[in-house]
Amino acid sequence: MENTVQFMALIQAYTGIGIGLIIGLGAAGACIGIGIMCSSFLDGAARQPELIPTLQGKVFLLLGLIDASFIIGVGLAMMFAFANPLLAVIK
Amino acid sequence: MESVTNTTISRAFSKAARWQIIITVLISGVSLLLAGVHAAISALAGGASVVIGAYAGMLIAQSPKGSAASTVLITLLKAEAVKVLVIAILLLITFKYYQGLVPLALIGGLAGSALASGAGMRAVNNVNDK
Repeated sequence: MENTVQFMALIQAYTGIGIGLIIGLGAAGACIGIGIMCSSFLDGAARQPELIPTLQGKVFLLLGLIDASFIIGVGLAMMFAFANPLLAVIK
Repeated sequence: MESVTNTTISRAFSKAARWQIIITVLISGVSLLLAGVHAAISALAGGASVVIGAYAGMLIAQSPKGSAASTVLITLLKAEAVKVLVIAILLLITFKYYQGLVPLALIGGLAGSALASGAGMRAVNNVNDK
C-alpha cells in the first residue's frame, strides 16, 4: 500500500515536470517562430506597403500553422494532467 | 483596402475550416470503427475546439483599427492569443466534464484539425479561387 502511494506520487511528480516541459518548450518554439515571421512581415511591409493586405492573410494562416504544434502540445499536456495513462501501470 | 483584407482572411478561413471539418469527421469515423461512440465524440470535440478557436481568431483579425503594418501585426497577434485561449478553455472543459472521454481520439482530432489549417494557404495564393 505504502509502495503504491509512493509510486503514484513519483509518477505524478515526474508528470508535472513533463507537462511543464511540454508547454514551456512548445511556447518557446512558437514564440521564436512567430518572432521571425513577424519581423519578416514588418520588413516586407516597410519595403512594399501596398502588399500589406495580401501579406496579412498569409501571416494569419502561418500564425495558425506555427501555433499548431503548441496547441497539440497543450492538448497532450491536458491529457497527462486530467487522464494520465501512466497511472494505469500501478492500478 | 480593409474590405480586401477582410475578404482574404475570411476566404482563407473558410477554405481552412472546410478541410479541418473534413479531416475531423474522417478521424471521428475511424475512431467510431476502432473504439466506439465515445472515441468518435472525443475526436469531434478535439477538432471542433480548433475550428471554433480559429473562428474566434478570425473575428478579431477582421477588425484592424488602421492600415499601418504595426497595427495590422498587433491585431493579428491579438487574434492568435484569443484563438489559443479559446482552444485551451474548450479543451479544459472537455477534459474536465466529459466522463467518457477517450484522450487519444481527442488528441488525434485536435492534431488533424490543427495541421489542416494550412490548407487555407491555397485560398490566399490563388486569387481566382473564390
